[in-house]
Amino acid sequence: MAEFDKLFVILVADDDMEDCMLVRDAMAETGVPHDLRFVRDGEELCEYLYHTGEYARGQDAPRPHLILLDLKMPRKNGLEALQQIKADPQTRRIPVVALTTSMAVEDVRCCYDAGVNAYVTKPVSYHTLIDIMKSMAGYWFQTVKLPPRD
Amino acid sequence: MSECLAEVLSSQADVVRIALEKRLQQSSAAALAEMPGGDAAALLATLAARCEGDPEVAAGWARELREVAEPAGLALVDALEGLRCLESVVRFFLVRQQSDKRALLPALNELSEAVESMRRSVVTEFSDKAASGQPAALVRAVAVAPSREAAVQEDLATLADCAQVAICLATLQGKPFYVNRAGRTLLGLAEATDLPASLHGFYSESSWTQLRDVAVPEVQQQGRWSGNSQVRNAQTGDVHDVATVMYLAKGLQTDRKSCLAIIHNQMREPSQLENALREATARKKAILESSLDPIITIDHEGVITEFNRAAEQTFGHPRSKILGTRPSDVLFPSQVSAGQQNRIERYLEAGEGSMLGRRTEVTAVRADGESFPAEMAMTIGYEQGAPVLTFFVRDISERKKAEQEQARYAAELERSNRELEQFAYVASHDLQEPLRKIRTFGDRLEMKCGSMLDDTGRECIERMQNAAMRMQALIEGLLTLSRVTTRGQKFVPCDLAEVAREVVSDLESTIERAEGRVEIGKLPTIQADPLQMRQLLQNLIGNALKFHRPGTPPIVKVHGRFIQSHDQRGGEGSLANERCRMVVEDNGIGFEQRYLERIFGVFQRLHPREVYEGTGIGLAICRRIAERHGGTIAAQSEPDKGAAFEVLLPVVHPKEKGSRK
Repeated sequence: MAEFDKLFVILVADDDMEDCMLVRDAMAETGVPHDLRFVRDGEELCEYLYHTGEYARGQDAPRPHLILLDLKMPRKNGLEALQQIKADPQTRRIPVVALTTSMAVEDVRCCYDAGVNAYVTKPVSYHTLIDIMKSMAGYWFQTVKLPPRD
Repeated sequence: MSECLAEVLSSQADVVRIALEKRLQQSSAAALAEMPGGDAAALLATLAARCEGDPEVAAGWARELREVAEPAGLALVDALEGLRCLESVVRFFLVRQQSDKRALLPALNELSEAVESMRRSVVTEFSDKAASGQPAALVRAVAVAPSREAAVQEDLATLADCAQVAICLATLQGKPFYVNRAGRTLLGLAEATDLPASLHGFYSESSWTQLRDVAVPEVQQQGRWSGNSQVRNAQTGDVHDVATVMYLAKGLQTDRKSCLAIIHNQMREPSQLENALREATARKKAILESSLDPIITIDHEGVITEFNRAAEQTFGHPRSKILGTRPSDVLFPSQVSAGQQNRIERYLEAGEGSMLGRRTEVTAVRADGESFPAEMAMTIGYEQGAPVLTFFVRDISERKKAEQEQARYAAELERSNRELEQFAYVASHDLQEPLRKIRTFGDRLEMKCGSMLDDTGRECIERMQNAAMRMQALIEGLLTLSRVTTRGQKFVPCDLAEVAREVVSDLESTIERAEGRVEIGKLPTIQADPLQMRQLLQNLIGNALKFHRPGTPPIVKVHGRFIQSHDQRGGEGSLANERCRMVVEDNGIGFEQRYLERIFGVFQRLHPREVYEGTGIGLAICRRIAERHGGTIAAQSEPDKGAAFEVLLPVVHPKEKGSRK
């Protein structure tokens, strides 16, 4: 695995504190230099991306290299946020990975229809979660060429 | 008869001419003097033409004759005309005799009397006033007309034999000389036997005394007697009561003497037909009155003529109040029945039968003003040639209420079922979250701190993890089960063979591990939810592989074909009638048939978890899938003899059910 040349900003949208904690810990196990940011729902996700509301000052919200998106969230759910992000030329190039408990075929279909870049089911085993984080980081931050940041 | 007369007249042309001339001279000399000279010739020509049988010419001349004769007051033409009329009457009655036998005899009697009197008037006219000696031959001819008379006599005899009343002719002295067929039957006289010398033997003693002492003198004085008498049957000795008419017949005896015509009308027992009619009427009345449903009859003018007891009870109106009204007046006054009434009228007018034999729902109104739903059937009949309609009405308010109740109950059940499904779905979905956390954190605990724990601690974590895993499997099972109906997809053409191949490919590793084999036979394409078909086969084939006998590699056979169901809802041979019978059979451990119902239940297991893993929900899912497709699932098995699961599924779905997107 090649060296990671920079700090990658990962924005996690999930209302579940424990899941956030697990992602954080698992991510820590990967050894990839990263800057994890958390938002609690789709509404806050959009505020972060557009620098509105709480994030109006902008400097607290660096543009993420990758968004990890839970689907079941209060206020604005993951799918709605995804549709908004992917419909907007400003944000649609940001890779979005759905990270959710849902295994429903419809959810998978809808997400891909909305332009999700990958769909991952939250694993039960912590080991697996670490594996997922590792391969995800390897894929997005090492294997693929990310879109240029304007 | 006038032809006959004309014949006679023409054969006696000279005598007639002379008689007429004399008659004309005598009765109206002045009128004759004014007449043109050819009148006599015209009369002769008339007679000649009649003889030749040219009616048109004859009619023309007859008119001329009448013009000549009438001013002179000549009654001959009238007499001829009268006889002609009578002849028509005779013909008329001869034609009618088949249909109206009872009326025949008196009519014929009158007729004969009329003919007689006409004949007499002609004779008198000629003999007394017109002729003086010479037309004696004519008078004789007119009066007797022997050949014709014989024919009439014969006709009369035939008629009399056809009559159902007993006719007897006897001399004034009481010697019978003719008895018709009905009379012979009544009196017990064989067909060709001679009649006795006296009427005496025909009657009971008292009747005979009465007839002899009262009836006959009255007939001789007044021409007619009627009363009751008793006749005796000579063969059986039975005495029958009869209504008797006796009159003086003047022309029936060949020697021109008056005779007694006696007509007996048996006061007989009611005929079979009358009995049947009376019984039928009584039965109809009994049916009407004992019917539990209202029966209403209207006549051809739409007026109610029958209103049975049940109708009285249902509508609360007495019969007397309803008879004579129209259905729309009191019983069915709403808009609906106004249409009904129109239809009834239309039917009566044009014979349209749109309502006949059909059940219609109408709104009826009781006496207290409460309206109620009623079901009505109608039938048409005829009374005295006019159509009458009978309505069979049924108060269906109870049924309607029950139907509404049932519909409400069904809706409630449906809603509660839906809620339950929704609940199961949501609950199992939400239950998964904390469970997943338990497992993940358990995992993390083991990983991070496993080395710090002793064996018991590690075993505790392992058991906790296993329990959580099982619970997750159960929840997933429940979720899948509830999704069968909540998340069902559309029914589309689905190649079961292809589905089976996909399932087998998914189960590849399981098959290899068990060193087993799955044989896919012929399988049809049906309309179904492909995902659910896949799940169905996955569960069935998965089970077949799982429950194999130790040491015996599982061999699973999957096959299916179309069969004709006996359900008659679709047309014979239609696709709607056809079902697909799919079978998954194995050579595994099988089960006892008494557990059949249990295995399809939720979380039902026949084996300890340690021996055969699983949640016990797979077959419940199979059953729900089959049911959602309008099908069934059943199984045949014996312990250690393998099991065969049979799924019956409709081939097409006329109306798709249970699919919610």
